[in-house]
Amino acid sequence: MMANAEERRRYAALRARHKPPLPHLNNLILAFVVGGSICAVGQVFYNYFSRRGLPPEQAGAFTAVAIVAIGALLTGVGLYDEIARVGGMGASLPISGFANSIVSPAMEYKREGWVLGVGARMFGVAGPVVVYGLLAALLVAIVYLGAHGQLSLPGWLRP
Amino acid sequence: MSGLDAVAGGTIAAVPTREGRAAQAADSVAGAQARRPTMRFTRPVPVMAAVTVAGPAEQAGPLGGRFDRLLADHLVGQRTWEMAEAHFQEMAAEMAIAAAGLRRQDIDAVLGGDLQNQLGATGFAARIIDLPMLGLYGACATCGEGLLLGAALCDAGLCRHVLVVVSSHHHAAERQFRFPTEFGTQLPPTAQWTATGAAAFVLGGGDIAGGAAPPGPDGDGGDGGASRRERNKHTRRHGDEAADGDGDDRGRASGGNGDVHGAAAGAAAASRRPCIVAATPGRVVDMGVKDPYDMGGAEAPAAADTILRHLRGRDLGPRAFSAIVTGDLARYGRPVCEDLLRQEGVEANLRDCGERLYDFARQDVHAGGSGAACCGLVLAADLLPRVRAGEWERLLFVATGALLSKTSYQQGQSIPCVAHAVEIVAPGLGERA
Repeated sequence: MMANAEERRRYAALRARHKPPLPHLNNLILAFVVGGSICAVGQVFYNYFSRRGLPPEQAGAFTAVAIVAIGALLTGVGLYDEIARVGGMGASLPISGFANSIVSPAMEYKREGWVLGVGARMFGVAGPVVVYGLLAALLVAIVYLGAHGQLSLPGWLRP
Repeated sequence: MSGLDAVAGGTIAAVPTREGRAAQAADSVAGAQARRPTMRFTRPVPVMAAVTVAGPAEQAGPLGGRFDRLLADHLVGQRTWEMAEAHFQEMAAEMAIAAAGLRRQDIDAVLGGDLQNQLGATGFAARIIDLPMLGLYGACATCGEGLLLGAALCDAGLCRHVLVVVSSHHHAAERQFRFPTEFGTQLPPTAQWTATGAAAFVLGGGDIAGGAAPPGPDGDGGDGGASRRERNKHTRRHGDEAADGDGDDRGRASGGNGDVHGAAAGAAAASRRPCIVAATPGRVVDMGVKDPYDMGGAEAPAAADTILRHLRGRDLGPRAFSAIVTGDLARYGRPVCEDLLRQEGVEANLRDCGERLYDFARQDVHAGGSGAACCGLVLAADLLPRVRAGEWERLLFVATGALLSKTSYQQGQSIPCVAHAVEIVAPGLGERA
């Protein structure tokens, strides 16, 4: 039985009466706590690298590497999914969440082999982040350079 | 002349064109469904055994102490989740046959199902179970579908015993339908937790399929086929008479010695076992729900439809049942189903297997359990024991399933759902059913 538009609308209204609201406030607080904790750990690393004499840009890059490594490790021992269950976006958004999104399919599909399993499916979750991240970077770069008057077309494209 | 005209006119009106014939056929099918939406078995089909194999999370739930085999982990020594699930089915099948007091060759058919693509677990388990196998896919409703078909095969006298086995595996389902198991994500409260485990049931052994027939060395002796069919024909006829209410003792006795013996032995066996007396196969209902994280909400209309058709087909009210238990609508789908029934004038307090399998206070399973094993585990570990003990006289078990795939919901399709109802009565109640 395929419901028509009216039946669908009526049923959606009935379902909405029983559907629990998403615990937004709860989720926001937990995301803040979990995401904030990850950032605090990052800050500890950053300060350490800075004290050891790394310039700010390199200290930032080393911090990212450290957080990725920790995210990958926690995924490997089966803890990161538990943290993200509680922390939601607070655990997904930091770069440790990105590590989780790559390590978890790599672990899952290892059983299908190194090429068609790990290799082919490792970016199954993170792929969209890479694709649209690059696209966004390209657009931002064009806008930035355009705004600073540094955008010039290559010779063969100029009228 | 007028009579001839009427006949001619009738003939022409009835079969004017091919389209007309098709329409007429469709009409008569619809008519038949309206009249007989429910399969009523000629004799009660005993559930001879019901066994469970339960995963770690299921053991931690309220039914933890009642499962027959507890799994230490999700892999049980196998290399993959998928093969582990197949192993669950092998274990459950072997245990069920033993619990029924049968040998493997006494089982004429296995009806199996799981959630994996191409029924992975069932197909691989069937290599080891090594019995004639029919694979079923009804998503989480597979258990109901298997019991319904198994009871029908026994009732028709086509099988002496049928093994029904269903399984699901949390991790195998997660990676197939959602994300890799270790991927961190937050789910809405309406999401459900796919159960890990397997349940197996042995049906038959009643007076339908020649329960007293001596099993041959390989389950079907050279002459077994014809003579059994002959016996079945007799028992079927008795069954029909009994169902019509005009069968009497004399009529039964005329069936011959073998039949009387078979019926008596079968009745004795049936008196100790819960019996399936009727079933209603579900229609696929799609109310336009697209959210794969609200399967209870998607399935509720299918469950309500099947419950209503079963009650109508059996001419019974909801109070005739000690309990109406839905498959896995879970916390938020069950009240929706109750509302839908109320709109049709049926006041029923439903119970739900998805709400029964886990402890909400201690286990973070969101809305409750799901998966082909969920209602199978609850039926075998909780519902059937109550029926067997006489606590419940008449149980309506309504397994619900969402027939979606990762592809279908990613392509924006709504979720077609189905529910199959199986009516199970307490031992000794079969004759009055």
